Amino acid sequence: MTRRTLMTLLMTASLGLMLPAGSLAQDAPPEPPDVDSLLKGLEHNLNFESRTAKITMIIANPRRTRTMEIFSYGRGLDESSMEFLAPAREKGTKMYRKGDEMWMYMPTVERTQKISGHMLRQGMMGSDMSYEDIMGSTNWDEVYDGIVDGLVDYEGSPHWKVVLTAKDDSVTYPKRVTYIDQKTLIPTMQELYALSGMLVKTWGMTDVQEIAGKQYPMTMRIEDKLKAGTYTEIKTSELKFGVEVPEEVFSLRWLERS
Amino acid sequence: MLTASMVVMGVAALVVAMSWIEGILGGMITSSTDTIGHVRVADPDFVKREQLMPMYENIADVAPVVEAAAAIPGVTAAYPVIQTGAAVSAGDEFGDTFGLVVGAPEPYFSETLKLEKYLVEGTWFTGDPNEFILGERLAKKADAEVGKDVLLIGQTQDGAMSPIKGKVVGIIHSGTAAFDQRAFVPLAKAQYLVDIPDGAIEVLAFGADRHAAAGIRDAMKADPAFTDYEVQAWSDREPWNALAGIIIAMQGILGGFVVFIVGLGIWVTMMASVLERTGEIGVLRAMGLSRVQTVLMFVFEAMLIAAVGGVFGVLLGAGPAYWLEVNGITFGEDLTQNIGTDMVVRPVVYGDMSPSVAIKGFLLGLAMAIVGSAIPAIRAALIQPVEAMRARR
Repeated sequence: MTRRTLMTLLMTASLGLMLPAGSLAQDAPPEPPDVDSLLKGLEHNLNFESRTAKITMIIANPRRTRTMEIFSYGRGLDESSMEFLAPAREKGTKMYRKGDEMWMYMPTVERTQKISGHMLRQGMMGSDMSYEDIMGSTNWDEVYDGIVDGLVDYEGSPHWKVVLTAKDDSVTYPKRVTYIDQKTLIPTMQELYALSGMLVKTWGMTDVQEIAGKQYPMTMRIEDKLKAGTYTEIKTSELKFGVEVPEEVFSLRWLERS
Repeated sequence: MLTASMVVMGVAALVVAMSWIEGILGGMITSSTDTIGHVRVADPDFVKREQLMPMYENIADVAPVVEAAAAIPGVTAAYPVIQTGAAVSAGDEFGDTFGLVVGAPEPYFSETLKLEKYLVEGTWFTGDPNEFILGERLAKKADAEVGKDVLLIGQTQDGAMSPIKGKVVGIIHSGTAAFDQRAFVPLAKAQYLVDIPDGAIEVLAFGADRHAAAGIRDAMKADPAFTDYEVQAWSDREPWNALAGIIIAMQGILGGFVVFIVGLGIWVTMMASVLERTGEIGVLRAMGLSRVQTVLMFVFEAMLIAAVGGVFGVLLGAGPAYWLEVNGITFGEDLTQNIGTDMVVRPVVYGDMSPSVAIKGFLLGLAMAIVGSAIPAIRAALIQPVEAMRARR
């Protein structure tokens, strides 16, 4: 054995020691779950029969940051209402969504406006989240076909990377790349793409807490990638599931009631 | 005599045509600069992406900027202005009528835009902060009436839906889309609409007339109060700078065409004159007149005729040009209401018979004489005295 051959063998051995044990032992990677079961778990966490919550919405752009306080009510997938508590400019503004329709009451002019057409794509109260985003169904298994693209490390914890492609191109985001936390089944990060393939928004969900048997992200951060330097952060508090919400909250009449 | 007649007719046609062009395009620029300011101060990022109307690129604290602009020598008025789009509805139903909302201090509307004279219904602003004045076309589309409330739904600088409500106190009819499709509201109301409580999108400064713009702009640029802002004279902005170029180009093309046609006429008459005077030219050449002197003699003669003809041409053209300046020509509102809201085009367009038009007409008359007489003069200079004497009968 020449001196050069010996050196080569030693170097090969050293490199081998530096590699993680797993790569040598080759633990079998976890079997990717069925995408439908992943989405069902996700929907179990994010969907509810009834809910109330206080929401703090921070809307930031390079020029200024605004903070809004909202009280939100939800019933099933189809109905939700919210009332703005602060700041003074927005106080008393109310919204009601039923299915694919949404109305907004504007107290300064004492009028209720149906949000429709091009207005649906505008940022809600100037945020990075459009009215369409709020109205969009979280029943993803009905809207998208998906594949599980392996288990990846996302911000230090294992996540299932799920690529969702819309069954119908007319949906707001025809493609979603979602990183679903293996443990909580919460989509820690979603990348939302337009039909052209351009990344339109990112939607992060963090600060996951267990409430009434559900894992729920108490903080969300949405970034509209078409706007420079903007983000919207939604912090949830006083979250209650399964509460009885007065029937009138889910009506147009409620909007104009002070 | 024939040459003089050609010059008179040519110069007269030029004077009428140039006064007409200056009247149409110059009037359009003057009216438009009343709307857009002789000089504008705005955020540089707003100017870069103006087509997208980025309302967040605004002047957040506008009062010091207005004060600094008013202090510039030559500035007669400076106003903070907000212009933004909004859906306009007068009844319970929200329609799909869109208009441009202009928010500014009342003197901008009354003294600069002079809108009060176009009032066809209702009254002028009385000082109530909830009063709106609508252009007639916008009012009709939205079914708005004097004395009734109207709702304007626009966007804040952050893009949030934002409504304002006010009472229609007056309706104006100017005959131009730039005013008749707009809603005029007090500045404070527009500030609330776009959520810029103490600001504006731009500050418009005015001098004695639009020709003062460049001087005011340069003075502002030298003033540290405007360091953070983009200062533009009207002529720096599209489409008005292009329009100024178009005026010059159109006058040039028209002038060139008339010079060519009349020059051709002068050439024909002068050639006839040279042929008639061949013998005379021969005698003069035999007596020692050089070729250069011969050329100069004919050109000078043509210029003398052109000078006299030019004066008569200016006088002849001044009549119709003055008539156009006083009476104008009606384009009709079908055109002016559909030409877009950027340009202020009046339904009746007047000529502009200025001294510069008369001077240009006269000088072009001389140019016609030089162009038209050059070839006949050279032809005369080439005549050999012997041949000329032989040709003489």
